[in-house]
Amino acid sequence: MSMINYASREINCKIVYYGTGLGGKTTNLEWVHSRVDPESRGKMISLATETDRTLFFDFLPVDLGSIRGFKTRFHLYTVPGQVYYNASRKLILKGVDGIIFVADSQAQRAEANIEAMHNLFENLESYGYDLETIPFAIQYNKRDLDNILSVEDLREQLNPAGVPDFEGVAIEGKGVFETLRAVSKLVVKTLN
Amino acid sequence: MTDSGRVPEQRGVPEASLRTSVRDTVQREGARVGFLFDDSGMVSAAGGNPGDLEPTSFVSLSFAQFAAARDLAPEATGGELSRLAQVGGRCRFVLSSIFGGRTLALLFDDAPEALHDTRKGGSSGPGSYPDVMDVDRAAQALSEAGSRRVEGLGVNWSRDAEGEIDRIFKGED
Repeated sequence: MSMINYASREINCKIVYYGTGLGGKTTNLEWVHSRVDPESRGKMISLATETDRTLFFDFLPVDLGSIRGFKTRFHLYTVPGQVYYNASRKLILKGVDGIIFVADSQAQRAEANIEAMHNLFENLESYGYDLETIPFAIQYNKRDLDNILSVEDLREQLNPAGVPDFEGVAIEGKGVFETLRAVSKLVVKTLN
Repeated sequence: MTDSGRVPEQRGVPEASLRTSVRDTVQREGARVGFLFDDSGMVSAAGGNPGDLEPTSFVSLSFAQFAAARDLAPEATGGELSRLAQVGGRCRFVLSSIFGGRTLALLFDDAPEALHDTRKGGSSGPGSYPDVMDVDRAAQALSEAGSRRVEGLGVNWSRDAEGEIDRIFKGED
């Protein structure tokens, strides 16, 4: 679904961070924004509430430069995790090329993770998208906190298909680029 | 192609016509810049001079704003929203619904005194809406031409892209 504009020689790919509220999606994007060379990234846009909860989305364009004559750009989006913002989540998923599901490793968030995953499937299905054909990875975030589930338990709950998954502590940057690289590479492979 | 590194030529008439119609509309209506984007928020044609404006930010926010307003309209009025305009002291922008789920965003540099001149800058002075019929017709023609198979970019392209991904997203894990 990546947009290849042969006339202007541009390729635009959309990667969406999905997951439960307060799971760390915005933190992932903020880390990317803070560590990517300013010449390669655009302005980060956050449409957030006064308490910094994502209201509509966060957006960060990242420029890969010209690759064999094609100006290539990734559009990184997060969706609002709060349950009642589903219309926004669904809208952002339109035309998605790759998805990173950010799971909260805390035991008390297990149910919310599963609900968010179901919501992802439902919203993709409403567009006729199949997650089996979309580059997809899972990040088990907040591995530094107490009372977290084991990775094995999280895999059993969230990753029965065995997609690439990574442990993360997004607030310290751990796993952030590893996850993003994995999905980005899967996305460019789809353009072969 | 695709491993020669050459860019495949895909300049079909409908695509070219759509791009031309956007450029012509921007010029005719006296807009500073215009962007046509699809229903996933990706730009498919542009015209004018963005100046200091960052196109991706402008388009992303325009996409979100129009999508939100468009979804809100049936709830509020039972009807559809085909235009959305915002006017400030020094500029205004108008978002217009285009065939096929596309949106045309036009940004105008209108001085405050021009706000009362309904015919300034083509047909879309601050008191009226821009004429986007040409863009609409071109978008419809493109849809009627049907989607054509697009060649892939080849393994060499994706290999180079992966190298750039490693370089840009190299942060410490």
